[in-house]
Amino acid sequence: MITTLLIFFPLVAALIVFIGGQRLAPTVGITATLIEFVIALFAYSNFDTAAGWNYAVSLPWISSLGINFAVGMDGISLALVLLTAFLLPLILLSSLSSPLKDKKGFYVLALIMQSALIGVFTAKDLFLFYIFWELALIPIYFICLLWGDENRKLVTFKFFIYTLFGSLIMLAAIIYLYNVAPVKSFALENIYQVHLSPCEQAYIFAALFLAFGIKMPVFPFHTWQPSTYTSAPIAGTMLLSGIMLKMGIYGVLRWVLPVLPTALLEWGWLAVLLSVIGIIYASIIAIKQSNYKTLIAYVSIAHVGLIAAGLFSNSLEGLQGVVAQMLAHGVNVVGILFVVEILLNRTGTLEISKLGGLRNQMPQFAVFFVVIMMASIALPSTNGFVGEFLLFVGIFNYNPYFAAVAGVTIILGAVYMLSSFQKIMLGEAKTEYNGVLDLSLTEKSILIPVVIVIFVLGLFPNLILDLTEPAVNGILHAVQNSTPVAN
Amino acid sequence: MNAIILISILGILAMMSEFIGLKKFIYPIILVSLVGILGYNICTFWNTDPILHYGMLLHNNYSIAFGSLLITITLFWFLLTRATYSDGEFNQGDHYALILFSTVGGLILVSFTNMSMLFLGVEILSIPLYILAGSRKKDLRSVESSIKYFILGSFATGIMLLGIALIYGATGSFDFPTIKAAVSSQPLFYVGITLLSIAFAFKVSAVPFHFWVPDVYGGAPTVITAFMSTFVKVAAFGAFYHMLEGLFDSIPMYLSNTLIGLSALTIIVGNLAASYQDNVKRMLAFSGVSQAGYMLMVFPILTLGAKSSLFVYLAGYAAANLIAIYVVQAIEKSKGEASVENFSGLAKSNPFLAFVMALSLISLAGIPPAAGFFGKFYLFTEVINAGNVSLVLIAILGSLISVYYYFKTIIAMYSSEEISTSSTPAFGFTTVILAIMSILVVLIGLFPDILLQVGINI
Repeated sequence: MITTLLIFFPLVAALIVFIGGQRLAPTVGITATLIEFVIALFAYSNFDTAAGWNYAVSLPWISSLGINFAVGMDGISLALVLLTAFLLPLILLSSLSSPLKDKKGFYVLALIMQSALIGVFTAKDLFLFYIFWELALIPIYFICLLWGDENRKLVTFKFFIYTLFGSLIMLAAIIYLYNVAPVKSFALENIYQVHLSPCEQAYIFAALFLAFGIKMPVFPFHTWQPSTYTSAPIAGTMLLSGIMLKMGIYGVLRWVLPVLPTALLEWGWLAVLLSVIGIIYASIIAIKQSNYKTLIAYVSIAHVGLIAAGLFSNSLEGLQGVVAQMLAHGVNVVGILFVVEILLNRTGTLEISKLGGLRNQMPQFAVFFVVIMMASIALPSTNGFVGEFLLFVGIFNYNPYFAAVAGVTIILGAVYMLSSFQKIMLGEAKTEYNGVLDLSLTEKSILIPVVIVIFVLGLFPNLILDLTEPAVNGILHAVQNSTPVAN
Repeated sequence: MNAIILISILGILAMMSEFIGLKKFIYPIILVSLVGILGYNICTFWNTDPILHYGMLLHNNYSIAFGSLLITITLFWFLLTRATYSDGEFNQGDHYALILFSTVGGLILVSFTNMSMLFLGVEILSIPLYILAGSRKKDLRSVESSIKYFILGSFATGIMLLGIALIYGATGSFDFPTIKAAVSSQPLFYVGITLLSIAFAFKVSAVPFHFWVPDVYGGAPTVITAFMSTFVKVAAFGAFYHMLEGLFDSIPMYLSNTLIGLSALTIIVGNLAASYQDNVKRMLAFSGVSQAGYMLMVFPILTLGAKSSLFVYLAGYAAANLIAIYVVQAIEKSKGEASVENFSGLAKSNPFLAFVMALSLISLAGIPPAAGFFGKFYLFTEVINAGNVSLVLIAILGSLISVYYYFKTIIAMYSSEEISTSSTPAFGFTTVILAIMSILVVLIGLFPDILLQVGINI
């Protein structure tokens, strides 16, 4: 029941915002997302880790085709629902200070998107999953199209076509799975029972990897991402990188690993290889970027590459690292994008070369910036460290050479993050930025929760890891169980 | 049968309304009668034993489902075009009568069980449309449209007639059960069925018999285009499938390969051609071609699922297309031409119109939660179920191309700053109708079970 509430409450809120009009929109929208967060916390506090799927509901929906409205939460779902519910209020708050016109429209779309995202993370029916997956695409498309910069038309179009291509290929794969399933039904339990020949598995794996890989994005399907992140309004980029790319990772966890174990063993190396290439490639490009937002876009590709590599490593540490890093990345990237937003508001530019010495004018800002940046390069005691450490353990167990190559990213990460910080914040104070103000109350109310979460999850990672361990074990179990002994 | 008679009477009444003093009342009379006929048709006959009328028309669930869909389309056409006819640009009585006669043709086409009725149905459906396409008598493009449609349509009818004659020669009958029982490996029969398929390919605008579509749809008055691109398509598809089902238990290999090829070709060519159009009306014409390609995918499969998916797809397609063409007409009215540039800034000048247009285009592109998505999903499921994955992959590529041209219009509406000239959002009757239709599009998309329950019983 509570899952259904989590999915539909934002939709109702969107309707209220729409009717409420322009003036009430921020208040109603932010209150609604806060209520949603409280509901998610309530779900967390009552969660029974041992029970597997909690709060599960299954209602007949399109009965003639065996489609049910089946939702529920296991540990992984809950972790991602918490992330979504935690980030949405921050994203809406951050848009308060930005010069977005027509805030009402933005809040409506963001709330619809939240509903779709939570639907993706909780769907227990493959068809329902697909519907939510596509539904999430439409609001973000319009957010980028309506509030993006002058390149938005072409850029958002490329983004849309790219992701839709992946989705349609996934649709074909889903229909295929449905057709070969023992019972004609899209239910999770039923899809997990599907037995496919290795050849079929390879094709389905390729199709799903394409869809999820584009969303994440994994090298070489990432080309839509930097331009979209750069061109979208910052709140849109937060939605995209903070939450939406987790859809791809979650999709692999939920629908690829348990369903296609043989293909995972046969072709997993390729996925890991692509991910590792992506890490190095994106890191090197990131170092060269002159625009800070584009830099963040490439950093995001590098981080996601690491998560993707862990995803196919087929080990408990790797998968736990995936979950931990998904949360960490979500929080950190929203934090750093908010830093970007503040920089842009204060100075009017994101060209790194034009910035400098801002620490003198904005000392408080500098502190928050440092903390978020350190979390992003995974300093111990921050949330980034836990995930990255586990991921490296997982990848190392899978293949030490991959781990070694991927490890370069730690160094490269330090290079691009620290050098850009140095160029933006340190050095001589520039006179043209003499009048800029330090953080306002609204801005602090966003940065403080981010920093708190960074340290809480960094110091007490078991808050999440204990939650997800049974679910992750379940997935691994499914993978190993259905693997023939001969392999 | 009763529906056919009643609508014919209604047509005659509409024709005479001008001189028997009914001009003011004919519109409400038609609406009420259509609703009545629709209800009567469904409530009395649905899920009852099939009735065979004089060995000519078979009244079963298939004909009731498709017939009701056709009557519903006509009903919504009347509701949406009210404004055009109250302006007095066209002669209301003539148009209404011709549309109603055309509806009768459509109803015959989804219930025939005899080749002669097939021919009659096609003619009754088409002849009023030849006239209607040219009803803007002083507009050269309208006249061109009419003549093109007439000449090419007659040509197709001729081919159909030859096909019927050859089948008669091979089997000695016009009657479906007799033909089915007598189907032999005679080449004459196969030539006949091929000719019939060509005629139908022309009517449903499948490539390579689609060349008339852009000129006819583009040149005809937009209200008529709305009717042609929805009603005629549903009728032609319903008739084509009905004929194949009546003649075969399973489609012979050569014919099914032809149909698959036709479908793939239609999807590719239709989508590519549509992506080159700058005029939204012509774009919709080509998109109609590509949509025909998707629907042809299930023609080689004679299963209940295939039939049902065709029905669901057609319903979603018709609803979305009617909305889109209405918006095109509104733009033409305020700006003269429905080029993509003229759509720019529509989201600012008339948010409601822009929203329903975006919704209908999203539906046509097959993106959830609109009806078009479920239709496509269902079609693809049936085709993959029949083992033809490669055709679905072609269709997926086609859908991807289609997103390009559908979204070209959406982008123009939503991203251009340019405030268009004062087209004040008129809130009124049509707004309500458009809202209802949009809700229908979303409802079919989210709760397709309503239609599926019909579909799996036909």
